Amino acid sequence: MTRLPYPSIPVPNDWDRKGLPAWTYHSEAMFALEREQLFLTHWQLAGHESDIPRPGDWLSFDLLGERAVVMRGADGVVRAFHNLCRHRGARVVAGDAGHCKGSIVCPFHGWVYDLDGALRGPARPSSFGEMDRSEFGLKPVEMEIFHGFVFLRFSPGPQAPVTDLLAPFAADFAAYKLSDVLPAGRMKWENDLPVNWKSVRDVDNEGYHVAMAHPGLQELYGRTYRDLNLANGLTISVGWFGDAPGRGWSVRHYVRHASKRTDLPPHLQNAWTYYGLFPNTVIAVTPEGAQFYQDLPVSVGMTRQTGRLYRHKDETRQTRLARYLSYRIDRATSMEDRQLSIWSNESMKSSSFEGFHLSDLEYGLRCHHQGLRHLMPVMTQAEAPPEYDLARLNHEIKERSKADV
Amino acid sequence: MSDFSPTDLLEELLHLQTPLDEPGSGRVRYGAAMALWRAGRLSEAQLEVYREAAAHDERDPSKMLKARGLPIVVDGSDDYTIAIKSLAAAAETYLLALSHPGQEDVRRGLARRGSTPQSITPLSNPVVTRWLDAALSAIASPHLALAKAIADAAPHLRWVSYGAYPRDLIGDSFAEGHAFASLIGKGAPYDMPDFKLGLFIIAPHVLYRDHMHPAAELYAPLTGPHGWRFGIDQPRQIKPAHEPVWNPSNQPHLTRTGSTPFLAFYVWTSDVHAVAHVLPAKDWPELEKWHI
Repeated sequence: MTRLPYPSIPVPNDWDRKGLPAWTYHSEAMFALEREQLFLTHWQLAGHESDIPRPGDWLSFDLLGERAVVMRGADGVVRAFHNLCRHRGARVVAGDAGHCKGSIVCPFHGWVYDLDGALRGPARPSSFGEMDRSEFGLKPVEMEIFHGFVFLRFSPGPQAPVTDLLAPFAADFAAYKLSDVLPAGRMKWENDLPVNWKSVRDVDNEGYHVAMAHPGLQELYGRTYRDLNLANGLTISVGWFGDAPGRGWSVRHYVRHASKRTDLPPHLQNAWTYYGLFPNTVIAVTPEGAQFYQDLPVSVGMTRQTGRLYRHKDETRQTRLARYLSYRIDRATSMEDRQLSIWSNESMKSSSFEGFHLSDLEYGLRCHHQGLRHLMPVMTQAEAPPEYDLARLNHEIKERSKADV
Repeated sequence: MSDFSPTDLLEELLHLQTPLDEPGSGRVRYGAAMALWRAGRLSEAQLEVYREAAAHDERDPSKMLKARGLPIVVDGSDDYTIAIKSLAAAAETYLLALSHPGQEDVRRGLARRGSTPQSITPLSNPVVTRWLDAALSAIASPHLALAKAIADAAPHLRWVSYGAYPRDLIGDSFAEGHAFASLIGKGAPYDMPDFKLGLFIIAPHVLYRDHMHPAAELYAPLTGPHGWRFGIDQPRQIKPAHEPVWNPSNQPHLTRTGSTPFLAFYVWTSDVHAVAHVLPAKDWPELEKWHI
């Protein structure tokens, strides 16, 4: 078995195999708490520096009422701001991505900002009397760049700076030269799925279902697939292809045309590796390219699956072909997972559902759920608390556990 | 007191001249007007005209200023600087949107360009005089702003012929039927020793015989169709306007122009000082009759 250079957490001999209680997947009050204590306080991946190569290029990132714009300034520096005019709060840029030539002009009244977010001037300047422009620049959003990937955090939170947090991934990302990747094809994809976001993660956080539910992936790498859980909410899942030719059209051709990356360390050659970041982000890398995907909650029962695809520069025709074939395999897997997520989520509403009983091969779910329980201990309650009282109860349990310590 | 540097202001004056038919140009002009207001170069009344015009890319603020009895904004920079910077911006916008194997090398080279062009001595050329208007007329939407930028800059450029080929090998029709002008390169408006970008024009129905050079090269044809082959024993191909052609280092290539003058951006990303040489082929007489 290939030795892996990651400090992973072994699966204990005895552990609580239950998942989160079903009510946590349908409670509006729980969702409000997740918004405040999880999503806005944890790093989110907005894109890659190469998505915005020129001064004035921008991409947007919206999450649960917060909205950011990541823009490359006239000085070439990438910055993130709240996409919120300081006059009346309008979006200063609209859409997924675009280009501002020279300045940012708010489409509502016409306040103008420099590309670094400083207020150039308000429309009808004299109507504001004396005004200190420095007080009215676009508000920055906390941002870090890791091997080209742009991470945002809307509010301070418990996670370490990205460079420290993702340090276990750094050697692999450097070997893959992920700082140098370029956008592939259309920049961004997204699908809305009518489920709670945790149901999507519950499916993606384990490979136990691959043999049954993903015939393509099983043929590609199912025999070698492993899920590893690292500290601080990181995961690495990896499967190696090439030990069998594959019978399905996409897998058969992919295995034949896949890039021989002898420049990579042995554990990355012929590997599809998925680097997970708690709570909702995965960066997936193959010899031909990279992508990231994430599950962005829209409401308690709606999740936006979105991501961006990247390729290596100086791509050969064969690499492009292999990347296309890997995309076909991924597309089938994604469709299969969507159905599994829907079934998993709807089971939570059945009166006969008694909760999960997890295999050792699903220990990744346990780790994810434990991360959520730690942040929001109200999730340990078997029965749903009253909606109006949920936030208070969560706070009380948290304070009690602090006192116990 | 303005906190904009003279270079910043020149940049904003250029943005103020963004062509009317360019999508989003109304806001670009208004954003620039705000900087010029800050610098004391515009009154608030003039600024307001630019704000009103911001939602109408095709509306000329100068006409609105005139209609309201307001002074037209005086451009502090010279025609040469405006024309060259506008062409550089339009060329880069166009080139960076193209997908080809050398796009990263092109992007890196363009990113190193300076911000202000140096003066050069313009030089006219009979091929340009005869064929540039026809070539520009063939450029259709959505590239009209690019065509205008080329038209405005052309009189300021130094148009020359490539002199490294022996006349008997390259043939009279090409020797007398082409011209090129550097925008970036040694001695060009944007002086760079190791990267070249320029415009290349060839008259209709001309064969640019098989040749090769150590430089890796991008052709970005703005007109078409035209014929190609990439090796003396390789099949002929017809390519349309706006399909980039990437020639890796020392890849042989030949071009046959059609009834429309061939106008293209060329980019050399490496080995820019090594000369090109002709590759003799027996079928040139036949190719001289190739009708595109």
